[in-house]
Formats: sequence, structure tokens, C-alpha cells
Amino acid sequence: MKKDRVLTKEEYNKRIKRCERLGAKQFAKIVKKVERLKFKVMKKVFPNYTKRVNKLFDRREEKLLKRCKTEEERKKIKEEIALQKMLNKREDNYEMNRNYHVFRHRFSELLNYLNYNKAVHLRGMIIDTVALPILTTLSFTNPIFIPLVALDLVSLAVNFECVNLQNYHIYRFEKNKDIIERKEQRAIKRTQENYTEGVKVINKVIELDDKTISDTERLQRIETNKEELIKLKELILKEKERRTSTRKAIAEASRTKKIGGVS
Amino acid sequence: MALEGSLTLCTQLLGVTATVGLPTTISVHDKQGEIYISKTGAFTTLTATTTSLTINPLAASAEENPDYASAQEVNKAELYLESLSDDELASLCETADILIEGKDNNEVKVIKKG
Repeated sequence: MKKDRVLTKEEYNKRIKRCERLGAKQFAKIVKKVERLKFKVMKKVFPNYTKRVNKLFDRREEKLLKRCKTEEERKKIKEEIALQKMLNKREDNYEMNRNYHVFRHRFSELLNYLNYNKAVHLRGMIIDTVALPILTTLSFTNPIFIPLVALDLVSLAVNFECVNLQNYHIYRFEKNKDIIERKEQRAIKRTQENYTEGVKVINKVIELDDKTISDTERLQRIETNKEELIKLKELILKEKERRTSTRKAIAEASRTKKIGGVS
Repeated sequence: MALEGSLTLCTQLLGVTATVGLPTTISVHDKQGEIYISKTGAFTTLTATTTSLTINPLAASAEENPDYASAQEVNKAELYLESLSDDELASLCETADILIEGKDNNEVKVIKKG
């Protein structure tokens, strides 16, 4: 019953402050640094990471499709796998984890990830808490277990901070839910009004069920008119602009930090 | 949907009038799913109450303009573009350019033939 109760803004503020006191802001900085490092390492050590992941997705799709009985199930699985592939590729392009960044005002998408992440780390916390007394008892019998106790403590602290960070973001989102949702709807509506022809072309390209051909070939195969193509081009240019501005912002942020660090 | 929307609107408006308790003129315009509310009378409380007059603008726009892409389609298309690498995006743009050029040439041919 308590969970269903809508909290007031003051109650949200209190909770947000509590999260801040528990180190959410500081931990967020660490998360960002780890994220940057993750993408740097991945691109250097595993340059074909996305391709390999896509292959894994294909294999998974094949397995799941074998189990399907109806055409609807097959369609759903194909859509789901295509979505996962796109999300994965987007992370690689923007060098941003989907769990911590809002893409084009899609706040509700982020909220789902935050809740999912929170559940994962809560599970981790429970496992660590259960393992801690067991490992401590074992360390009395054999010193080999002492490093494991230390590792478990670190893992527990990380999981705790992760849950705290997710809570911090969730409370901040829920506090301004109405405004955020309206903003999200407005952004979608703007695209609907201005680029609906372009959107339809892209959806035709996505729906073309042939993995052997490239995206450009897909575009050549579908039926389009001049108006649709112009809108599609506008959408592509808009995406290019967004990408460059995001990269600029990231580069500037890291540069100012570096300068700050030197002085 | 439209009936449901107008019924909600009517009850909301009745509620507003009852809350204010004074003669107030409210005119509502629905243009492409957006609801504009103009009011006469200096009741600041009314502004706060009218914020509750929310009819999903997406549903309204889709209903009025069946040619509109759905919100899900928009999200999917945007995600698709975000997922393309820089090279893929550039080549898609190039292909679109070529196809536009092709359409232009066809139009010119048709005009010449005509």
C-alpha cells in the first residue's frame, strides 16, 4: 500500500537529499569515468565488439525462432532482437550507456532502465550480504578466504552505491514526472508533425526482412517519393548535427576538467 | 475517442466553473490535437485548474491526422538513425541524395514528354 502512495514534492526532496548524503553525486562522477574508460578500452582492445555482439544476437534469434510456434511469436522475437541490436549500436556510437543517459527526451525509456538496474544491484546486495557471514566464518578456518571477504565487502559497497544512485535518479525523475512526460510528448509530436514522411521511410527500411543487404540497398529497394526522401535527408542531417554537438560537449567537459586538474 | 475527450472536457469545465463560482468565459480550440484555452476574467486559480485539462496530444493528433506516424514509429526511426555509424549515416544520406536526384530527372523527363 505504501509503495502506491504518491509522494509530495517535499518528500521527494527529502529522499533526494538523503541519496546525496549517501554519496550519489560523487558516485555518479565515478560511474561516468568508468563509462568513458570502458568505451576507450573496448574500442582499442575489441574494435569488432559490435559486430561480434550482433553475431551473438543472430545466434540467439535463431535459437528462439526454432522454439516459436506461431508467426506472431516469430515477429515479436525478430522485433525484440532488432531493437536490442540498435540499442547496442547506439551505445557504441554515442559512447554512452543506455542506463545513465537520456536520448532525445525519452525519459520514460531511461526510467525503465533505472528500475531494471536497481533490481540487478539489489539482487547483488542480497547475495553479498548472505555471502559475507559465510566467508567470514570460513576465513577463520582458512586464511585463503580473507581476500574473498575483502572482495565481497567491496562488491557490497559498490552495489549499495549503485542502488543509491538509481534511487537518486528515480526520485528526481518522479518528482518532475508530469513536466518531463509533457516534454517527451512534445518532442515526439514535433517529429511527427515535421518529419512523418521520413519516419515512414525509415520504418519501411527496418521492416524489410533481409539481413544480407545493407541499409542503403534497402532504401533503394523500397518505394519512396521525393517528399519522403527529402524529409528522410532532413532527419539524417539532424541526427548528424546532434551527434557532433554531443561529442563536442563531451570533449569540452573533459577538457575543462583536465585544465581544472592541472591548475 | 472524440466523444470521450469532449465529455471529459465538459466535466472538467463544469468543475472549473463550480470551483471558481463566478461567471467565467472559457473558449477551447482544438487544433491538430493541441488544446488552447483562452479565458477571460482575472482568475489566476483558473490557470492552475486548466493544467488538469490534459488530453493526450498524441492520441488526438493521430486521430485527426491518420497520415501521422505513431509515437512508437517515431521512437523506432530515431533509434535506428542513432544506431547507424557515422559512415553508414553518410552513405544513407548520399543514397537519399542520389534517389532525390533520380526523382528530379524523372520529373523533368515527364515534363519534357508532356
